[in-house]
Amino acid sequence: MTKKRNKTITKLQAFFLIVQTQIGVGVLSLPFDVHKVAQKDGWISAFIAGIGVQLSIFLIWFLNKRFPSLHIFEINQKVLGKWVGSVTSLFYLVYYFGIFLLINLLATRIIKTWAFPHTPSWVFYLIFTFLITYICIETLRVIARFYVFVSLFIVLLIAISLTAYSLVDFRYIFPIGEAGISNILKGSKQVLLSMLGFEFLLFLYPFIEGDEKSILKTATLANVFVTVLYVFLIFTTLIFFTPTELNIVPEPLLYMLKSFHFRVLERYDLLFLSIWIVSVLTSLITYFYLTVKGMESFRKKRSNIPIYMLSILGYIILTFFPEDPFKLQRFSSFLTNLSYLFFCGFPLLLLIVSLLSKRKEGEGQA
Amino acid sequence: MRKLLKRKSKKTTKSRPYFSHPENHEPVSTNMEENKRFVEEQLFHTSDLFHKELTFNGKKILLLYLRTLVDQEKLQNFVIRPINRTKAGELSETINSSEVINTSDLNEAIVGLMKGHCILISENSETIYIVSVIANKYRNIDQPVSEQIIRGSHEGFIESMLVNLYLIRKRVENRNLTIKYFTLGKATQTKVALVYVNNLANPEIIKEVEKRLNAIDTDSIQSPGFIEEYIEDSPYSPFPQLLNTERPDRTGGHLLEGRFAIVMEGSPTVLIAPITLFAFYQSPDDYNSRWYIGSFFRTVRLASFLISMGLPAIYISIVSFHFEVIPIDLIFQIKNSLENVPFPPLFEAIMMVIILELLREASIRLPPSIAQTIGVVGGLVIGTAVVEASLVSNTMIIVIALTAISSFVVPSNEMSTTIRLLSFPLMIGAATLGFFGIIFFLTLILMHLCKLKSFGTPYFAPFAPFNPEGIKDTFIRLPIWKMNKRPLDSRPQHLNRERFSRKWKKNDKETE
Amino acid sequence: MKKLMLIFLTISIVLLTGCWDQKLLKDARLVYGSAFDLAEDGRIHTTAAIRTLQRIGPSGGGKPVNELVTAEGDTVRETRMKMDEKVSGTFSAEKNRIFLLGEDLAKQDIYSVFDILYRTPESNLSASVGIVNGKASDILKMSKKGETLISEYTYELIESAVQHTTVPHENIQSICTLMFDPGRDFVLPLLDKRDNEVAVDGVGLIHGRKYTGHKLSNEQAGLFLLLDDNYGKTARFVKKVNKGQKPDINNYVTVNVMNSKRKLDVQAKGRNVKVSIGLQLNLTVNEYPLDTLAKKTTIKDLDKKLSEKFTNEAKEVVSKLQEANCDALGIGRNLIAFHNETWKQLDWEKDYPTITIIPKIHVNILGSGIIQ
Repeated sequence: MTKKRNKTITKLQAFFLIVQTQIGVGVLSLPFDVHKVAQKDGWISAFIAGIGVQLSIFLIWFLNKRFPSLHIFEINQKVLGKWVGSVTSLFYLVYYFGIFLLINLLATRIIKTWAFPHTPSWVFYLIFTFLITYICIETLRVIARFYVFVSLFIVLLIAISLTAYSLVDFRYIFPIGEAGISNILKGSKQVLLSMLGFEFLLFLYPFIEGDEKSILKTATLANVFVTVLYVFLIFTTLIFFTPTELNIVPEPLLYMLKSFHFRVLERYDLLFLSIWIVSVLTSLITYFYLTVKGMESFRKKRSNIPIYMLSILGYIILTFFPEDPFKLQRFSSFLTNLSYLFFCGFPLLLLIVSLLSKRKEGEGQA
Repeated sequence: MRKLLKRKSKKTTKSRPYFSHPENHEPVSTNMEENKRFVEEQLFHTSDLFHKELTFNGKKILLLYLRTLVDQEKLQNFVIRPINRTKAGELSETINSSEVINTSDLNEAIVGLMKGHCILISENSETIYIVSVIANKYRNIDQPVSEQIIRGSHEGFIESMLVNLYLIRKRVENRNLTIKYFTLGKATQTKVALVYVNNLANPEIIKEVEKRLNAIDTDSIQSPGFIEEYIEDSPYSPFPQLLNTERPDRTGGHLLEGRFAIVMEGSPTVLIAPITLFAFYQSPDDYNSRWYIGSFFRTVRLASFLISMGLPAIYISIVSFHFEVIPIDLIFQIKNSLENVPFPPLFEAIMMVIILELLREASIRLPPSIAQTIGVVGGLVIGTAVVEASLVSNTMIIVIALTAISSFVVPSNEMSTTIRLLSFPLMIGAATLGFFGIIFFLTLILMHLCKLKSFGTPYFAPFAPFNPEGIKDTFIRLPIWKMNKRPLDSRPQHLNRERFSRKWKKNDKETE
Repeated sequence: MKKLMLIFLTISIVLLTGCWDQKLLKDARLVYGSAFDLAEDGRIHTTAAIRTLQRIGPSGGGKPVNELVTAEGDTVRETRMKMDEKVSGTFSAEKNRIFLLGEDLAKQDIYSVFDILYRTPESNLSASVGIVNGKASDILKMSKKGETLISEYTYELIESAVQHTTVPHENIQSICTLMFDPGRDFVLPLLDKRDNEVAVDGVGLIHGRKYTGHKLSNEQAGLFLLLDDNYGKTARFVKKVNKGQKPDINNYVTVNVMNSKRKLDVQAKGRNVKVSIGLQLNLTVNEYPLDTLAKKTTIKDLDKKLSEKFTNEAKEVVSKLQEANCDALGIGRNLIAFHNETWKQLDWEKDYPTITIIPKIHVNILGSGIIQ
């Protein structure tokens, strides 16, 4: 039924595809969100979240290993049968689209509060939609090339954050473990939400060059990288701000940069924000791309028209979304809570069903 | 007449273009006069068709040639004099030319006439001799004006394809160097040569380019630019996807990296593909000087890429959106110069850019002596007056001048123009959304570069796809002995190009 | 056709999108320095020095001058709004480099004055802060000091004092995080206007979000900064080490701190906190007319005298800090971090002045300039 798929992307590209998807809109507010719950032990939460993600990566890997040339939408149909599988795929599709909308909304909100208070939101939605559609009509390989290139910006982000170290007080993180285990664990839940994007592997798996072990290694490396980066960022903000001040600064990274000034350049937050936009864009592209692929799994013919339709639909929904921050927050927490189902629940279900029914790819051929 | 009618009917059935060269066979008649009449009719009694009657083996021979294309001296020495002197024998052996073709097709003879050959029609014979006596009117092999270098070869291509191919052959003395002729353009019958190194160039790419060249169906090919537009991958892209060069050394270098070149008769410009963005920033000078000097200039050139594309946009976004990013002392300097300018920065910038382009365009078209005057009048007088009149601010003039200078740094003319054109959308983006506008447009350009392909190979290599080996010859130029591999983007058949050339160093140490 | 549509769409987007958030530099009236004072009945009096240019030639250039704008209002934002009405163009405080607080206002609450800066994204958080003895607006009203505009002059004054280890390197953001810190206070440069002179007059001690009214002199502030491990680029001290020498100048030695090493040791047992601060100063002698420093004993002698002198003065500094209840050395923060149990038992507000802090300074002369 399925023919052998071309392994089109290299491991390096896969690494950056996952990393860039993970790093996105959440980075800016991550230290704040974590600190709210886990206090000065937020950086430990990030480590724990990294371990949690790793477990989930194992799960996804086990599932995909059984179907080495199928991606999630195809696995759905293969394991759960045509109808149930289609419904599950539909769920995935709607979920991805929801995340796509959410990132759009959150990113635009941050841009508006920080730099462009008077510019109407639809401008940003339009620009995002345009750029995303432009690259999403291309193949995965082109997208991967783009991701690898813009990963240069991550280096820049780290470099900018490093400047904070002239003005820090390490005593802020002591005593370690004061928040208590339960708060640290709750905090790691917050970090986990910023790490979303590793579930891209569900789709990516069949396209990556190399054997199953090296794919696992790539995904693990990506996770380690993001975890370390997040720990670093949380740690930096924790030692820069007094815990009490951190409670009132929702985007501590930007706030921190705002106070730096050097001879040639000031207001590093604007620079940071401009670069961060690219990271957000990559996450947006991933989720839009996943939605598109989900749609294509229902149709046989490949055509660009549904992509245009989808982006227009997305744009319309975005412009009519209420500008009330609390509604946005509700939407956000609804979706993020739902996400457990998609990176953990469904894969687990699929794995169990496939184990029980002993369904595996290639049985027909072997 | 019947034949003519027949030809006409053929034309309609196959719907051939109106002035295509008839491909059908037109047998030579035994009647010499009839043949002559046919040729004259076919050439519409053109005045430069000359004929001369000779006698050979006691038979009359009619010599026909186009006076305008033929070298009189050659005609005299190689054709007329031997015939007159020998009087008898085998005609093709008598004629002192290496290229004698005999044919029984009058149409072929006419084609030969058009190419600068003369034809010999014998009485009562159905064979026509076509003898090449073409006039070689070339200019000298000079250094190309548009691609000058300081050190190294000062040869440049000229308008003759033969000479150009000779220059290439001389550089790449290798039996694998393959040249394939194509004739393009129904009316112009332009000769085009596809040159590549057979055991290096990727056969798929060669097949592809042959396919594309053969697909060209047009009346005329005036310049390589025509071919470029017919065969490039993305005609709507602002980036040139074939490299134009007039330098044999550059061409040779690219051929040895597994690329192909297209040489056209009548143009000194050679097209090279598949190419990457960074090839436009390489100059033969980089390899003529020592490696760190070459690297330094590479970096300067790539900085010029960023400056010419981004500087005006960044300036606009700073003065109209984010003036808080620059230190306060600098702000006051800029603010002072802006104080009395009535226009928005975007307008100011576009005005200056247009003035500059006008000056550039004007000085190209004018003879050098007047161009200099234009430079002085335009650059100095207008520049000062515009500031005095507070139409444009001082800083804007600096910014635009810097931008222009940086854009001229690019060794390739078309890329330089592309970059300057691309700065316009960036400026508009900057004037609309400040830094974000710039970032959005840059992302768009970046995405486009990632998508773009030159004959199926990625245009933005070695950055996308990322290939650390390729960086050695892009941003910087590492020592030649470090560049052991050919660039990946042209997908050559053999990657290794350099072994251990400095092994003597190791040997030296051992002997010490 | 599709491509054409796309191009058309992009062009129309470009043309349709205005420039909503545009703020032209041309129209901005840039404030270089602001001064806040407490007016009667608790209102706030703001003075802003806008730097403008007296144009001379037609093409740029000109003489910079200060334009003073003042306004009074219930909040800082209100005063700003009023000032904006008074100036042509847009009143923009984005590049404000120095904020001066009047003594009375600083004694009330520093945070509430600066809240507007913390809240708006475009404000400059790297600006310097200073407290002025008396009214802050008096300094800005001087308009010029010599050939320099007063706002720049004041800014540079503080900057150079930072280099000379007289005042700490603080900006709007760094004091914000300290104001929120229960375990740490800070000091701010004090400025003083006498006749037509503006000078740094030591540092004012802040507790929580308020200026306590206590201050350290320049010399003490320098020592305090060394105790706080906050060494600038240079630090010089003049100390009287002898008595009765003639002429009087021979009684003094000027030393230059090359580098310093501090060890802060906080010991806590139950509610008992004992702090010892060990400071090792490596000095070179800048000026010592009395003696040559060839002999080792002379140097040793001088070392001893200076150590004693410095330690005594350090004790004075510490007692002043405790008197003002200003925990600028961050001992509370240390307790939170490493002696959390003790911290929880203590009421730092009350207990800080009573804890024992013992400074000990050891001086080591390493050089004597290019003569001995």
